[in-house]
Formats: sequence, C-alpha cells, structure tokens
Amino acid sequence: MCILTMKSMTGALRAKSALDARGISCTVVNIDPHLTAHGCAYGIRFACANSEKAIEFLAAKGVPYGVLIGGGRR
Amino acid sequence: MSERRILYFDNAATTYPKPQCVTEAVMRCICEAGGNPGRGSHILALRAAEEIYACREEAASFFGAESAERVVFTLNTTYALNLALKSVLRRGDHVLIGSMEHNAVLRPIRALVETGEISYSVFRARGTEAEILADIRAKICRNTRVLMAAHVPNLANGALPIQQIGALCRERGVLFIVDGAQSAGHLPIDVTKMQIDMLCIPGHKGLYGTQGCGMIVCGSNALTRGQTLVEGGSGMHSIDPFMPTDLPERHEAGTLPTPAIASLAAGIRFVRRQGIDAIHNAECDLWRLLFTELSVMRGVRLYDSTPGSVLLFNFDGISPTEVSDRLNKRGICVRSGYHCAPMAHKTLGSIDTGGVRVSFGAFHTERDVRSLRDAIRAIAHG
Repeated sequence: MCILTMKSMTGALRAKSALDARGISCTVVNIDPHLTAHGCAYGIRFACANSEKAIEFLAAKGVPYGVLIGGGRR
Repeated sequence: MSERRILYFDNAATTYPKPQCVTEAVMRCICEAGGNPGRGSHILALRAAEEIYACREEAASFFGAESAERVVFTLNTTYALNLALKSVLRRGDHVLIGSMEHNAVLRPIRALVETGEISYSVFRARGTEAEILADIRAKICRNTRVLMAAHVPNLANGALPIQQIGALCRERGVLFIVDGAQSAGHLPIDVTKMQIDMLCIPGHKGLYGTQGCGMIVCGSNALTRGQTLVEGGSGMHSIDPFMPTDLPERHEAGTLPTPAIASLAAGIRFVRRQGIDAIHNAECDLWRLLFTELSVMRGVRLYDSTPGSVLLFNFDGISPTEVSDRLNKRGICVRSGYHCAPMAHKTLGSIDTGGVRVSFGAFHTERDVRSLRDAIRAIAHG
C-alpha cells in the first residue's frame, strides 16, 4: 500500500472524499511522526497501483497533497 | 407551567424547537462517533473527524465557499467576529461599522479603540440602497482596513445590500466581514458572489443546530494570513511551537464540539429541504399577520414596517420587562430589554425604554400567532 501525506486531517478528508467519488478506494491514516518534519501528520492510504491516477486526479481537482510514501518512492 | 404548551417566540436568540433530524444527529454522534476529531486515526477519532468534515462540506456548499477548508469552526458568532477582526487588524487601522450593530461587533471595536490600536466610524445602515452606499463611500478613508456589519440586525428586518457593499469594499481594498447571525438560514448568502471575506455565523439560530458552535466561512484568503487569537493543540505538526499555517486548523486550537457540529450539518440539510425562500416567506406572512393586529391595538408602538423574522414593539405605560413577564405567565416566550444592541435601539428610536421582541421560526403557525395576539390584547386591556 502507498501513503500520500496531507497537510492536515481536513486535507486528508477532502482528498478521501474526492477519491471516493472517483471510485478510488482509500483510508485516512496517521503518519509515523519520524517520517515527517513537523511531528503528527495525516495521509491517505491506497493501493500503489492507483498512485498515479490518484495524484493526477487530486492535482486536477486542486486538492493540496504532500509526498508519496511507498511503492518505491519517498 | 410545565403542563402547559409553551409558545416560543425568541428564535432570534436561538431557535426552538430543533428539527427531529438535528436531535437524531446529536444522539448518533455521541453514540457512534465519540472520539476526539483530528486526534489520532482510530475508528472513533476518524468517525468524529468525518462528522466535522461533512459539516464543513455542507457549509461550504451552502454559503458558496471555494472549499471545505474555508470553513473555520468557532464557539459562536461572537467568537467568530472577534477572530475575524483581530486576526487582520493592525495598529493605526480604521474600521467602518453599521449603525444597527450588536455588541458582538461594537464591543471588540471599542476595546481596540480604548487601547489606541484603531479608530472607527459608523455608517448609516437604514435607508435606501443608494443612501447606504453613498454614506459608506464617503466614510471609507485611506487607512480603512475593515468594514464589518450585520447583514440583518437583530431588531428589524431590512437587509443591507451586501453584494453591492462587497463590490465596493473589493474595489477600495477594504476587507468585508459580515455578521450573519440573523440572516444565515433566512436569506441566501454566497461569500464568493457577494465578495465577503469572512462571514461569521451561529449554528444554533437560523441553521437549526444546537448551541455550542459557530463558524467563519471565508470568501478569500484573508484569514489564512491572519494572526491567531488562541493557540494550542491542533492534532498535527506537534513538534512545531507555532500553530499550523493552513486553514482551518490554524484557527481551531483545542477539541472541537463534534456533537454540535454534527447537529449543524443536519440543521443545514433541514433548511435546504424546507427551502430558504419557503422559510423566509412563511415567516414574513406570520410577521404581516401580527403586525396588522398590533398596528390597530391602542397603546402599541411599532418600529419597523419591513416584513421578516423579528418584530419589535412597546406598550405605552407598561415596561418591556413587565410585558414579557406577563406573557411568560401565559406560557409565551419573548425577549425584552436592549437585546445586546444599544446602537440598533438608538437608531430605531427605542433607546429610552428598550423593547419587546417577537421572533419567528420554521415551526410557527398562524394559530400560534393568533394566540400571541390574544395574550398581547389581554395585557393591553389590563
């Protein structure tokens, strides 16, 4: 599974709402604080096979996102 | 009195009763989403966060905000107005407010004036659209940073021409903060079309949520750049000693009242289903009925001839408190006094006595109004 970091819980839920509507299944998760620069953070987790499609869709919808963790990237 | 049917006419203070869907939303939230929103990702914390996000989406859509992030939850409208104002003002700024303002607008301004931070002027908020706009134009000066005003006051029914005021503010580089305490849920508001930078509203009045939350709906990025009013835990960026820089978390320190916010989402859906125009038109019809009856009653003084959701009146020779006490003994709830709005009472000509305010809600019927009329008539006849 891959995780896309988000700026906030609100941002993560916005991304989840957008992706759910697009038919891309995902869940909101806590991100291990050692992986972030500022401590507690949230992200959305989805199948790595959907990474490209998910990121393209969020970018097109203007939903801010951070970095992709997993799937050989970070 | 608990045995008798209560007739509640104080909906401008808080709406009562609440729709069944609102009560159910609170119950469901407490029973099924009892975690702390944005604090961890276990199932109950996530459910609580989802309740809050659902309300952000509902409110953003209802008030024309660009996205859910532009909805910032607060304790109430007063807190929202204080945050909106104090986050953007700087020493030496000038603020313009209307002549019908509630103390939630006047007092934060006066506190900042007392400490020498800012100056302020008052524009006429009653009159024709042209008169109001001309007065605003004349009073905007070089250092005017904010125009802050009630869309609809809490004692009368005329709405400010906010779309035109929004355009004027944008043209002159003035931030436009709207107190929507009495208009949200009664009149259509679109923060983007009306060029409102910050719309401050309650959850528990015309949107039929419970008491415990209000919000700022942002039509621009003004609040993103603004100073925080309260700092604390935000559930994110915990290593940083400062609040996050993004909305809405930047201005939401501490735990949010999830059940109240869930109730607000249900309340907005209720207003959507009923239709904002249908609610407003029904309230205007009830207002006309009561106004017609009171206008022919000897010794009754009325202050406003515009139909809407509130009606202010007085009796010659009987104090407003005495009137409301006598109505209360008959199981009828109205609000007497100054209604936290001395500016509005001064503008309307009722500053010497205060007044009795009747305010309608979505559940009133003509029968209720006729019962109120009969009770008022009985007081008039001694």
